[in-house]
Amino acid sequence: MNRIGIIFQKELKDMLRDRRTLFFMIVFPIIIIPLLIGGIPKVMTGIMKEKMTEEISIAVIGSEYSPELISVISSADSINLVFNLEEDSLEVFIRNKEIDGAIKIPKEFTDTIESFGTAELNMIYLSSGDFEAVKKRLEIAVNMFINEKRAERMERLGVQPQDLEPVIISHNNIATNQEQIGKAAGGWLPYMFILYCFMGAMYPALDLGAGEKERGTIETLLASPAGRMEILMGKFGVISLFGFLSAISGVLGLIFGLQFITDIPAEIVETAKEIIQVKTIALIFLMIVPVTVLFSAVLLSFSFYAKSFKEAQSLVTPINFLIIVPAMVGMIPGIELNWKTALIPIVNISLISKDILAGTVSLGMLLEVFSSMIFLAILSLIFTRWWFNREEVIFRG
Amino acid sequence: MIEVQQLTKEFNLNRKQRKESGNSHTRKVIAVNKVSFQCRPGRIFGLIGPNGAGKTTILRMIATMLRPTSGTIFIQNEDSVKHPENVRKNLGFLSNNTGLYDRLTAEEMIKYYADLNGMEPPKFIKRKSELYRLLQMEDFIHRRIANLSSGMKQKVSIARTIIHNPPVVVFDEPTTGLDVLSSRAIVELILRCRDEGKTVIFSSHRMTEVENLCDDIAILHRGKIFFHDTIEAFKNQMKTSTLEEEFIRLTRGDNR
Repeated sequence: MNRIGIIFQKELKDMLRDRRTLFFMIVFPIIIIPLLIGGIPKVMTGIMKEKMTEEISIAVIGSEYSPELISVISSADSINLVFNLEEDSLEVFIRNKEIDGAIKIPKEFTDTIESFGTAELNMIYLSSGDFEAVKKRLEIAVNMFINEKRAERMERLGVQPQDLEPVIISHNNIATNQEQIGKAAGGWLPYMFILYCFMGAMYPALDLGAGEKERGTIETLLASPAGRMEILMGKFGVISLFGFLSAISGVLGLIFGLQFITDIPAEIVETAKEIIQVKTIALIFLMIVPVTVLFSAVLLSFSFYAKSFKEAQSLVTPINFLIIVPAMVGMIPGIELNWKTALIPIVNISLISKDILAGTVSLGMLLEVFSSMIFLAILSLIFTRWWFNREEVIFRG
Repeated sequence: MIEVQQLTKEFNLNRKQRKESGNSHTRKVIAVNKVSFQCRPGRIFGLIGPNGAGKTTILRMIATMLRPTSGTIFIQNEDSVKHPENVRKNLGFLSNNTGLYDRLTAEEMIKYYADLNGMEPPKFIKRKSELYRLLQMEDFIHRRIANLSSGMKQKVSIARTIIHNPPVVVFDEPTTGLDVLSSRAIVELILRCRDEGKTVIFSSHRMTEVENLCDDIAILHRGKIFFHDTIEAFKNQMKTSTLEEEFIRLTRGDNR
């Protein structure tokens, strides 16, 4: 075996024995992403459902001014009305959670409605960062009353509902389901794999560069017959492999996670199945390759520069932000892939992944993004080689 | 055989180092200044000097980790600048802060270096069993390095250094910071290498160690050699009663 292979094999063995890293890089994304995708919406739906059906107490001030409204609201499920509270104490009762909300019916309420005026109904509730369940339930109940009154008015005026609709718009979006879903949800996939690719390459890069310096093993390795390029390529191979595997774990986690969402309409499930094809996945994996090479080269350069693992960590942490921001571009609606955006690193990968998922990618764009990323990846590798040959970098101190 | 001729090494100072040096205009520092010496097979050569004298820099240049600014180093008649890889094949290198890979076993660590040195499997098997017996390592060769005692780790380091039976061995302050037992293991290794006819160069600032081990010495101070001969010749020209006092006298500049 040549020396690159020997070094690659040793570094791979070394990294694979680090169970913690292995778990966080490879296993974690496969478990955590499905949990995020499937679990969180499920929990949220559960909480929402509970909030919408649990018993709530609503205080009413001025109930005598509209017995009709009171009867409509009290017919709603699980809303208990409380009539004997003072107006001034309502806020205190709501804050103390003794009641959930209140409505205030003004004296002229019924008269205003009967005389074709617009009456005001005041709802009091405490809503901050919750699902606004009390507000929604009160609105639903009050809307029933409003609809009844509207129908009454139209009857009195001799107007049919369609008389109030001068125009009806009919929609015809020619985008296929794949295009719509791919573009809407497609931003998440590149975000996930770009981030995982970076994180997956990060720990091995820090360990195989700065870690080797810190342990004092770099000197003996440099004094061995292995050339600098051979050492670099052996290490680089393992770092890239981890970045790539971690990115793939992210993608697999996402696909796996989709199976957990049970309440998606059948139509969307069908489209998702159309999207998740061998060709689509292969194209996404192809795009991950230059990203991995670029990340590995950049991370390894920083890692070789640092004197210790800790210093390397503090050097690469800010790069996280440089990666996250362009990776998020795919999630912003309205930014499209064109010949200019295809040249912006990471942004191009984020945008083209969306197009790949939507099935709208063109061969020209694919070539432009891939070749510009390969060019950058090669450039970063050349830089790392030059960097690793500098005595000031390896023996910095 | 190691032949060093007019060896010079300059380092560029970064902004912080320039500030610390007190002279912000000095962009370079000469760490090794026109140093020449020769280390012969079957003899132990001691490179002696205080911290910062340039010992590590010279040894790193010999091991081809650093490139000389000028001058030449020939190891087993190979030019270290022109054919660094051939030079490294003939070299074993051990320093006081040499580390090991915790997640590998002792044998994996040693095999890694045998493989990097291109050892054929039969040769490796023969050599490793020789070393395991000699260093009494048989009991722990399959244990992870993280779980070894410091004495055991020392033995792994030694075996790693000489697994490919190199004709030249470089030790950079090998006993600094070690306890008595570990130091003893290193001293025995140095003596064994000499007895096997290897060329041994080591750096130290422990004068008793130098006196006990060295056949030839070079005293280095501020990058320059100002004594280079046999240990006997050094003792004969001494103006003080002990080697240590003489070394202090010389490095303080009383002889210049």
